[in-house]
Amino acid sequence: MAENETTRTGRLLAFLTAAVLLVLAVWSVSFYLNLWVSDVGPDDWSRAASRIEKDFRPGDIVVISPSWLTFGESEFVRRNLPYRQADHPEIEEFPRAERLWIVAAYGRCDFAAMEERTGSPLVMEKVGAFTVALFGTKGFAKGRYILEDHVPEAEVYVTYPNKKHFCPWKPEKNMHLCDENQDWHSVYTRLHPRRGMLRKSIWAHPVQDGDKTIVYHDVKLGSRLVIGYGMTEWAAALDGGGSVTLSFGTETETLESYTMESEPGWHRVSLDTSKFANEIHDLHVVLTTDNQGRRHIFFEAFVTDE
Amino acid sequence: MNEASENRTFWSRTGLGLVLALAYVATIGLTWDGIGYAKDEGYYFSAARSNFGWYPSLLKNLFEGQPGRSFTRQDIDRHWKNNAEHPPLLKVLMGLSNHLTHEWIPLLNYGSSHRAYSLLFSFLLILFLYRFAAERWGPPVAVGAVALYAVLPHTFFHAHLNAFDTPAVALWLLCLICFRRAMISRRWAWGMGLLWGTAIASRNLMYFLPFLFLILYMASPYRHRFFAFFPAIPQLMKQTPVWKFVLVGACFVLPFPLWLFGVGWLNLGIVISLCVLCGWLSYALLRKGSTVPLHWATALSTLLFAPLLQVLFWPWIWYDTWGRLGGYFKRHLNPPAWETYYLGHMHYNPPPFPWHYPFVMSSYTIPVTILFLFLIGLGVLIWRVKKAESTGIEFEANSLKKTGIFSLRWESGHVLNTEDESRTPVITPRWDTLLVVLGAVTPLLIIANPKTPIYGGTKHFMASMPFLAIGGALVLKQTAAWIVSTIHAPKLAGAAFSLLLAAALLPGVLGIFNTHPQSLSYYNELMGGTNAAEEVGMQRTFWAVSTRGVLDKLNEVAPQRAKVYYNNTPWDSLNAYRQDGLLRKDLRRTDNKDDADFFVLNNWRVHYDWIYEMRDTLGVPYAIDAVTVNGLPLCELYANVKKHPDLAPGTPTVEIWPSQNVKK
Repeated sequence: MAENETTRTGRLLAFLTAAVLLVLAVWSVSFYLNLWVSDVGPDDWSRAASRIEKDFRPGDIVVISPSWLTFGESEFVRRNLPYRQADHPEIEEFPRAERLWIVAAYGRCDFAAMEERTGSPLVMEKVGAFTVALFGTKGFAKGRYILEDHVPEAEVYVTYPNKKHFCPWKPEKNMHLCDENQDWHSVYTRLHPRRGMLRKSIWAHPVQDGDKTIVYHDVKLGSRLVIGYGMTEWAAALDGGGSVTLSFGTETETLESYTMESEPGWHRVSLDTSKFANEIHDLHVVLTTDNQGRRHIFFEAFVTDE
Repeated sequence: MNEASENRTFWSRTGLGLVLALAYVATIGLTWDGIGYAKDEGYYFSAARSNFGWYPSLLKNLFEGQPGRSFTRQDIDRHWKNNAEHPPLLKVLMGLSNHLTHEWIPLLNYGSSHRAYSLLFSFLLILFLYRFAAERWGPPVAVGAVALYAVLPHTFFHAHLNAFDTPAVALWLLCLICFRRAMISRRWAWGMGLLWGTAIASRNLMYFLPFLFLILYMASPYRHRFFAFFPAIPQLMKQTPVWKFVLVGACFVLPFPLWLFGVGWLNLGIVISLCVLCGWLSYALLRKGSTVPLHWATALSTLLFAPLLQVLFWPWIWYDTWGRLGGYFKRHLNPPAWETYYLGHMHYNPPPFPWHYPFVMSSYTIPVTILFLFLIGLGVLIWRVKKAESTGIEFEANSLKKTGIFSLRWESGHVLNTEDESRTPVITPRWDTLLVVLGAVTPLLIIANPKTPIYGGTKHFMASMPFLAIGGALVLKQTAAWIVSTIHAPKLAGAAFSLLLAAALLPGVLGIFNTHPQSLSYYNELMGGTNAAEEVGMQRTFWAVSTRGVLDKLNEVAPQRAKVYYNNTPWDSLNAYRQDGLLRKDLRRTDNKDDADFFVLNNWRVHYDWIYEMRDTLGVPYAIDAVTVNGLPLCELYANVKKHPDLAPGTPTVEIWPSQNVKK
């Protein structure tokens, strides 16, 4: 009786094992077939870029998804099509865009979510291994004043207990330099891939014995300030420094402060500035830390009325 | 047993293993092309040249009648200082392989001639994996285990390299198999000492083996003798001739007074003592009618031979012995770590490192069917450790009596001991299963220790794989057996097993086909393939092996004497590319980014920010060539457009190039 039970259980398990194994093998084969069918070749890049070039308008931006798909970007550069990569364009911000062309491969872009945010696509076509879609930017906030674009004319200084040290703009280095001998002690814009998107952000290394301040003069504020910020993975992994506080405010008051610990990643927040809407103010961004060791901080922000 | 069945036994126990081992080695040898020289390989090319170079130099000095020159500190340091943080033996074999197949007989190119040495270890690994599994569980399980191991994309990749990792897998397996035999054979016990000494002179992982030996020893009936030994010491001492005590005592004591004359004399005394003890032990173990108790034999042999061989193989420690040995152990007790991107975080010194790394990485880098079999197989093996003897599986003692090249004299499946003639089984199904379980889980647990760096990808716990493969193959065999017994078709047993095995192997074969020669970047179906790993936050590639893929384009477009910046490819790897005609000899390496004409950039996460900074500041719009797997770049070639605007024409566009957009 017991032996029969064992035998029955054994047989059941054997059939179950065999069934799972065969199902996994079939799944694997279909996985690879699907992968090979989806593989993007050089012709696909060229065809996708040509398709967009045909209906491209100034103010359009091309978003290539997923973000690691970089090899064929030459096709977009050659056609002078502005582009950037993003894994999830539906959750990002494109403050300069009038319309968004999405060039997606490997089934990565969530078109349904994109549609939910912006409405139906104006174009949705299969172009080789790519899906090319055109969306309006109804659900995206338009940037009236984009901080990254105004770094050279911004005023940068460090407030020490007894003095204020100015960091002049150095055109040859494309940065506000606070110490001629230490390039890290600076404020400038640079490209970097973060949380699945190629971003251009303001890099600013805080110092422990003073407040590093970036002042944008005479900015017409809107209803919101949309802010993104984070710390480099490298800095977070090496640790060694203290937490960093990033504060936004006007010449008269601090509106909000955000604290970054030793964690990589990217945070997006929206700061309500409606009480200053349409007023002209100096916009102050202040970085502070109690230990400056390896605190490579980046942020971006734009003023919007939406 | 008639001749036909004996032949069949030889074929099923060894012959088929030989064929499989040769087929595996041939496959590896035929697929070298395209696999770039890994970062470590570069260092080992150099170390092999340097370490092995001592031997020809010694011969030369001998012929010139001045052998002493090779033993001077200056000469030893010159040859052995390079890569002294790793044991020497594998590097010497690399150098020997290079000289045999390239320098002396021009059969292979420079890089492959170094890599050829690891084919020997791949051969031994497959042969002995087969032999062990066939001996215990039969040829189908053995074939299954070998096949499952062979199609693992990461192990397949590592088998190509001039590195320590595949040899370490082989030595881990060989030591455990040898220990198994040493449990019942004095000759094997003697061999065990030699093998473990050789193993620790090859790879530091082998220092963990004595812990496994101890567990296995205690899981055998010998544990009773071990505990019975202590009360028996007075009796034993009475029976032992005084001269033996005097000799052993002298060997242990005499070297220390020599310290008074200097550390060198102490070292010499220890080596002479070890030589005397090892010689005596060899005589005691190997002579006919040896009376050395088996349950001591292995311990004595490993304890005495291992340090002696370590010293003999490693001239580096002949000077400043204790300082250098101390430095070596200190480094490995507190090892350096290189940055690794794992689950969205960059991991770097100091510890702790994530304990789940080996388990998560295994889950994502073993083809899905094989992963399924490995998991069930490990469960079955653990269950069998508890249940094996009660399930009625008998140890096939008779089959082990055969002698031959690959089966040294097997005295019996029982303890033969002059002190105790009881015939308690030592190597039982349960014991063998425990050996497999320990062999499988220990390498994983070593890396799961939060203090152990995780930078090696999967290579540092690859030694688990042959043992997991045995578990997987057992599941396949048992599944096939149950199925054919259910449908009452015993003749279909082979076909059912083959079908299941084919289903299990197919994802691995497809994975290798899809990624080779970049199989180090293989991630399985659960991950969603290699390109999904990037989104999950895993490292795209390791060790700069993809550099090879952009060299053709670089050779084609670079002007004479152009300067190339490499972000992750060591000088010695580049030298190997040059020697093998894969990189033009006029191209110069530069570490000055601003001065470079070209950039060869491996896409390690830690370098991403810099790659884009370089593109931004130099205005480099795009890569002119890239090595990709399913669209995911692993290595990219950029031209400095400030110097070569024709190579990457086009103006960077407003959206991604902030420097073009700013109002100045």
